[in-house]
Amino acid sequence: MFVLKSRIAIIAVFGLIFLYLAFNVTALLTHNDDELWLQGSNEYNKLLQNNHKQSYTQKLRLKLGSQPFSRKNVSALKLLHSNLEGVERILRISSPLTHTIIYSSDDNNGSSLVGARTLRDNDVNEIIGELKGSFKEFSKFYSSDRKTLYVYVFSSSPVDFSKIYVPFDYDVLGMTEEKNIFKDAILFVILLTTLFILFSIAFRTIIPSILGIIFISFNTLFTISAYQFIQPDTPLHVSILLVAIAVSIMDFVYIYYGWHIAQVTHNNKSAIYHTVLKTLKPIILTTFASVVGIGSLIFQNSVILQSIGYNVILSSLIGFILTFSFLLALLSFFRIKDPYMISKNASRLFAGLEARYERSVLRIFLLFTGAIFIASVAFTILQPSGFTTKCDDEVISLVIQSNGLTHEALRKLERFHKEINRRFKDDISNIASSYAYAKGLSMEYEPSRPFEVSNINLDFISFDFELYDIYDDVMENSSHRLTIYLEEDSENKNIVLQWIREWDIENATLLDDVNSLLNAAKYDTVNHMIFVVLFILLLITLVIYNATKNKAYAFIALAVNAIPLVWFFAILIILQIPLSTEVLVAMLIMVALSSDATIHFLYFYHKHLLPESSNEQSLEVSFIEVGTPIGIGSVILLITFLLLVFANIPTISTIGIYSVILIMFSLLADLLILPVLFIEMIKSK
Amino acid sequence: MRYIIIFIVILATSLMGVERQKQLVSPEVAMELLQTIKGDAIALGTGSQEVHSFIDPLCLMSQLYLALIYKHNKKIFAKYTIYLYLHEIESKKSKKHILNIMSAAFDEKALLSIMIDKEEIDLKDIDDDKSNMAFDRIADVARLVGVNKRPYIMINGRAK
Repeated sequence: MFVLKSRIAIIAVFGLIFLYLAFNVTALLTHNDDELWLQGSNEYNKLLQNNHKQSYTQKLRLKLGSQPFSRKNVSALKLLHSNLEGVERILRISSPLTHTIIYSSDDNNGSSLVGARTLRDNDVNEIIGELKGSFKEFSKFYSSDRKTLYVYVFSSSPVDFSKIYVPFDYDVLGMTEEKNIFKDAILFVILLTTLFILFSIAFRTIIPSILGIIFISFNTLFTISAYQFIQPDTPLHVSILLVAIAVSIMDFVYIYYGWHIAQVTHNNKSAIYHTVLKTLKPIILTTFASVVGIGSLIFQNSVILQSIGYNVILSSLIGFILTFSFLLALLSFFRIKDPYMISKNASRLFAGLEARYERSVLRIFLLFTGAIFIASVAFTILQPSGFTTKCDDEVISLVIQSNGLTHEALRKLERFHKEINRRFKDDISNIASSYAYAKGLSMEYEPSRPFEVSNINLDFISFDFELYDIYDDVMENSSHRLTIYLEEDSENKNIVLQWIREWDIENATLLDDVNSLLNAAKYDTVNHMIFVVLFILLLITLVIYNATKNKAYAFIALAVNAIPLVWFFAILIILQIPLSTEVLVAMLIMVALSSDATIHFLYFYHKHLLPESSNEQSLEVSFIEVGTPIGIGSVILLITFLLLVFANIPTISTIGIYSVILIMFSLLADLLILPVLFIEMIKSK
Repeated sequence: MRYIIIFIVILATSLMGVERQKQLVSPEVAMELLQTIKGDAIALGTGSQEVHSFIDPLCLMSQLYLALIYKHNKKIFAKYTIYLYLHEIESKKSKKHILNIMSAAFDEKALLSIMIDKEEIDLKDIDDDKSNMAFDRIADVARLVGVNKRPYIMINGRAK
């Protein structure tokens, strides 16, 4: 009544706030989530504590054609080097031209020298001869068919190769996504247009389309502004905003649909009252589940997880406030004659089919799902390597802190070399380090003497490192720099990274290339995100138990939300898709949406459990009242995420693909499994 | 004095059993010997660590070595002082070149002209005692230390 009496004031207040924020918001969305991932992550914090700067590694893949060592290719490589050397931010380049070869030269006439050389200053014919004659020495830079040449560029900030003349057909690995307002605008235009069209189709009126766009625009702007107020220095990643909006879209659909069908039997005012009565409690429960469940991410160290947590909390709370004030005030101005009910006939059909379910089929399905769950868990425990975030760059740059070029430090590096080569024998193509060069030079000085670290003459090694320009590649003040080059078809880089992190019991190893830091940060969040997904499942179960005081309802809530995840896990394992952050963000979206649907459905069943009505009647009413908004909301989100797949923004596209699959699974579970379980476990008893 | 040093050297060598092929004297003795010819060397850089190198101006490896030093001269000269001792490889017949460099007003410039720029310079017959004596002193110490190749590089009395 308050809302209806003050509707103009409410709309005016929210409208003014919206206009004020629209003209004052300065927060930029970003597609580059690197900074967000790095902030607060363990490895990055270690780097900062040691006053060490991160570096960037980008791998250029140059197409050589059928004649890899032609004059044209070698000349182009020399030109590329000249072009790259002119770029200030580039710290070093690793290519066949800068690869250091240790040699011993003796003319048997009193002249001899052990040295190290590169091909950088040689002429083209000499380089061709050397590449052909000693190909094994340079093989790490070439693909197995020799048609692709790899050049690694190490820099203090990302290099934009489109601004440098690269005289090859090429692509770059390790590129980061930059801020792009144009892409953001396209993304939100796609989202809003899709919503507009789908609402119009579903309800055969443009009222929900207009109201939906207004509601989502208000919620989005308020969420961005509130987040900017709470975290003024943290940019907002566009995918996080999408998660937040997805959670709040469902509230709009429930309220609007409730109001829409109430128009059949109620006048405008009582339709609003009736809608609030039906939806307030379940929306409070779903908001609580989202705020506490996904919101628990704010207690994680990772800034990006905190960001997801804050945005879902803000979006859910703002969505709740807008729904029961602004949206109701807007609805009070409209009246729909003969409201169209899209699912009236379908509800009856589905109810009829599901009411006659086969108990044995249900049991087989549940047993089969249970078996898949056990198999997935067993597989994950037995083969954890197959279940980690994948990354396709193949260089790891790290620094081992020590007291300079000492025997003690070289012994530690020797142990590292031996152990990592033993563990990843087939995966590592080369490790550039002070130990590797010291060993190479020492063995050339005294080829007849077995190599031992204690026999290394540190004075000579130190002098040679300066003389042959090796020092800066392998030493950084008193620390030792290691660059590990992985084979193209090597085991997942993350496993190597994890091994390195666990190897270092003295905590003196600093990963310092941004790609490795990002991989480590993402790897660390995988466990947190799995924990949050499980926590939300538990929370939904507890919320339903608290609302119904019935264990059967709680079990159904748990089963219906867990089943899509189990099947999705099984698909990931079968298709050997690694568990990535994008997968987990999609899981969070699905669990948040699925929990909404489950709570609405079960709350409805709990409140409208009529033992005297037939199974078919019970299901039909539930499909019309709850199933339809769930279906409409899910289909809208499904198509929205499907369109995001084509948005040409890699992170968003990947989240889109996984979200589509998970939302489909979730919808099937909500519409097919949940009603049948209700009849089986509650109504029939 | 010279004969006393030679006696000490031979005695110390036999007592310490230093590897004959590479270095005939102990690092301590080598350091003492090098001190006696430091003034005859061409010194490059101002770094705190001393690097003593026996080179022949016509030896290709010595030329490469010198070129590398100059290529990274900023870093190397800040950290090291390089003492270059011009010592002939018999087969190279470079004594005349060495004496010309030693007697030049700017010995470093002459050294670079011959070894790096490889300029054809008009070699003179050098008679001055100073250069000849320096040539001999370096040759004597090289013989005592066991210099068997060029460049022969020593740091802290040890050969590479």
